Amino acid sequence: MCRRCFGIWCILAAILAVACINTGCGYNYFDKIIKTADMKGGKSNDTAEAFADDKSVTSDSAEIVMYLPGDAPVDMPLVAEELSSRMEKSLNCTLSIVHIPWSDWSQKYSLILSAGENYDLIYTSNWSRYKEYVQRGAFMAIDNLLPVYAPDIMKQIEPEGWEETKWQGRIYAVPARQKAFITDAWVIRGDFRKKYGIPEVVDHATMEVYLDTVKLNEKNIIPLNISPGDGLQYETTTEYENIPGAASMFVAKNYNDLTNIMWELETPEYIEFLKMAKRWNDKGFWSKCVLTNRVMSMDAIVEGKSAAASMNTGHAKTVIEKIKATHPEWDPEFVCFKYKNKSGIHPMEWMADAMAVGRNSRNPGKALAVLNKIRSDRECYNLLFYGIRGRNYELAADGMITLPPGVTADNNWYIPETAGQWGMRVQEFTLKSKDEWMDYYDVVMKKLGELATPDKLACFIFNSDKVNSELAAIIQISGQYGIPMRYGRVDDPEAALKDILERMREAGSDRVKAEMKKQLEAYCREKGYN
Amino acid sequence: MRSRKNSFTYELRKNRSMFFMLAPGVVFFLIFCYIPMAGVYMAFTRYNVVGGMFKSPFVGLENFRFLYLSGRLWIITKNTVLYNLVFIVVGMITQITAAIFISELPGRLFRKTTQSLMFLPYFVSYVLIGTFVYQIFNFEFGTFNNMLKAVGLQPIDAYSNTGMWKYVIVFFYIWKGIGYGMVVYLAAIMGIDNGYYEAAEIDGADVFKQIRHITLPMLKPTFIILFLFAIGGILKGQFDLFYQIVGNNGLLFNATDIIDTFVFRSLMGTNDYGQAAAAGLYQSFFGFVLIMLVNFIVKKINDEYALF
Repeated sequence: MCRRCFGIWCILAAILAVACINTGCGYNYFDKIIKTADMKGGKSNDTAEAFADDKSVTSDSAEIVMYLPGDAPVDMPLVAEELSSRMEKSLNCTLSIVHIPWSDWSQKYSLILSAGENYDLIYTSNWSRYKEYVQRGAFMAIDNLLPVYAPDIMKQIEPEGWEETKWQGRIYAVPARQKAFITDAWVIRGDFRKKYGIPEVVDHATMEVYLDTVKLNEKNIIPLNISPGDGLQYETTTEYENIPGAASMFVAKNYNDLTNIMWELETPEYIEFLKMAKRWNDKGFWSKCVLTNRVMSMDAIVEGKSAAASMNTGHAKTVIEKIKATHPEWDPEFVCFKYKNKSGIHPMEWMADAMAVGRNSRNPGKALAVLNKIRSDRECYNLLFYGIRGRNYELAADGMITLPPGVTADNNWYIPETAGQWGMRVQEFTLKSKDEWMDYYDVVMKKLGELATPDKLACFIFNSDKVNSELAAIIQISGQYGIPMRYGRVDDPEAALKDILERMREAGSDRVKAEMKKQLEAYCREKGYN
Repeated sequence: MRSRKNSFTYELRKNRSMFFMLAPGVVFFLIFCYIPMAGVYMAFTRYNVVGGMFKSPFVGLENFRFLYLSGRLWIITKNTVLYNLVFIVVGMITQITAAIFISELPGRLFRKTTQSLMFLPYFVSYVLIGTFVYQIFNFEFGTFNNMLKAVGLQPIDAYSNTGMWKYVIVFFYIWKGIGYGMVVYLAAIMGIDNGYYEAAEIDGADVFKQIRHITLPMLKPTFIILFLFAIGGILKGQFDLFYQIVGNNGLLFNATDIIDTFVFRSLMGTNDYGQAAAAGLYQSFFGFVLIMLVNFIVKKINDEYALF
């Protein structure tokens, strides 16, 4: 063996040693993070108490970092600065607001939650997977801090609201419900409907008549320019009760029989629905490229590229507002199949919007105090939700919100309630604008409110640990074979459905179902349902 | 007693400037390649925020199960390997051809302009390419179908049939990469001693003979090294290319789904970092096996061309 080789080996050994030291550092570093995490929230029983003892909110100054969803409005820096200076005066802390843009929302949000950053407040909700992240320990338990630092919030939220935020008996989020009822809805073009004398649209059959007529007479518009992100609202045709968790692929037999569960694809009515989708597809109600289309129908209808759009009642409100502002002659109509079906309408969950404290927050108490201030001080609230008075909004004598003179909807750089503040909403503080449609929307809400039943499954959290692999595989299968089938892009719906069920069975659908049933039964027993 | 001349410290002193120049590279790979390897451990855990990377519960091979449970592991692996093979082979042929053409072009200005123009597509993002493709092949208003209709032919429903997508994807990959990939070959051609060509000309060889007997053989080592490098990444798919062009169109997946898009879709559904790490490890492991194998074969055939 040559001596040269020996030299090279020495170098390699040295490099390796350095690498080991470095990775060693890495381990130590991570240990440190984990230890601090443990100190702060990990063994949260003693920690939250430790913070609770420190009641001097205003003692040390601190910087509170708050993550909000969506793109920041142009005037956000002005608003944030003003809000921060107010916080400094009353709570001795500055507030910095960071927005997570929609364009990379899902990746970035999940990274922030999973990487253990030191932020203090973050937006969360059921749709952004609160129930999954709370199980993975992304948030700090705050039930001990709330009475100390956020007494006003404690008064605002009813016990059942706190119940929805609970995991293993502890509170991990501050919900912000608005009293609304969320269910499936459509928006259609009233001008077309009236022009051709089509009767009112109330269900899938009448919708088909409307779409048929549009297809026949209006050559320059796609009747239902839908994308895979939308849906054809199978739920509105049956009495099944949707079960949260497992990518919402399960339904219960009905409201009073919650533990009798099925995959939605297994329900006997499903095949009829698929045949309808196939018929609609063959009639050309939507583009042949529907599966590659990335524009949601609710955006297409605003741009005049669709004659109908599928969405929920919340979005319908925004869409109709937008159309009324840009093309009032289109006469947008609100359509809800649930008026006819009547089942499965529930009040909006408390966890539809919420704020949570990050598990590695250094000042959880102060963070909650900031939240409390925003939710109890009307001036701070208006600032965050409506911008700077006189610049972005003005209050009329009757308490309605209007635009300041010289400002229009087009050059108002802080459009009300669009800066991702929804997690801090307080119903009583919400300002209304004078508008016919808003009055109509109130009627819609009242009507739905009469049909609504309490949401029994709002607090159910599915723990998928035991069937993670099966679930991932089934979601995959559902994406590949389910979506084309749901939009009628297959030759034979019956064969396609059989095929997909068989594939799901091979991937272990029975195990997932058994696990879901087990957890659901335990939940219902605990809550005293059935 | 060991002679001073051969000791390690002597070596270090003698070639200190060499070692100094080597250092940045070593540090780079250490920081960005070797240290992160510790993260491979994540593939065997159920990741949660409390435990973080190294203290989440250990679950063994559980995370790998989802790869085969959906019954698609074979198809996506096959697609990934075949697409990459085609990319490598067709890419290299077109790049070498283009490099030779460019090198034979007369006129410096014309040559530089051509080269720049061929380079430009490299800067077009795959997001834009995805939009191009959608605008071209859209059934109702796409350029391609409008052309077909204008000459009285039936429009084709491209987004429902797998047939043409292999060609579309390969075409756009080649189109985008040709200018960039050609640079290395062009440099290699420029490095060939002009004396060979002069001698050939005196012997009466025409341009084609010169290319056949001088340029191509001289490019062989470059070609083999680049080929070996490319083979190592054969299980790594071009995620953005496939995802932007095909998106979530399940009808096309049998022909266009590769490991990367499959994993992306699965994890957008479940957000499980352990499973993502497992899929990454699967790719890397087989990439490693493959490069060892190919290098071994190359070594058997001609020792000089092997990477190591």
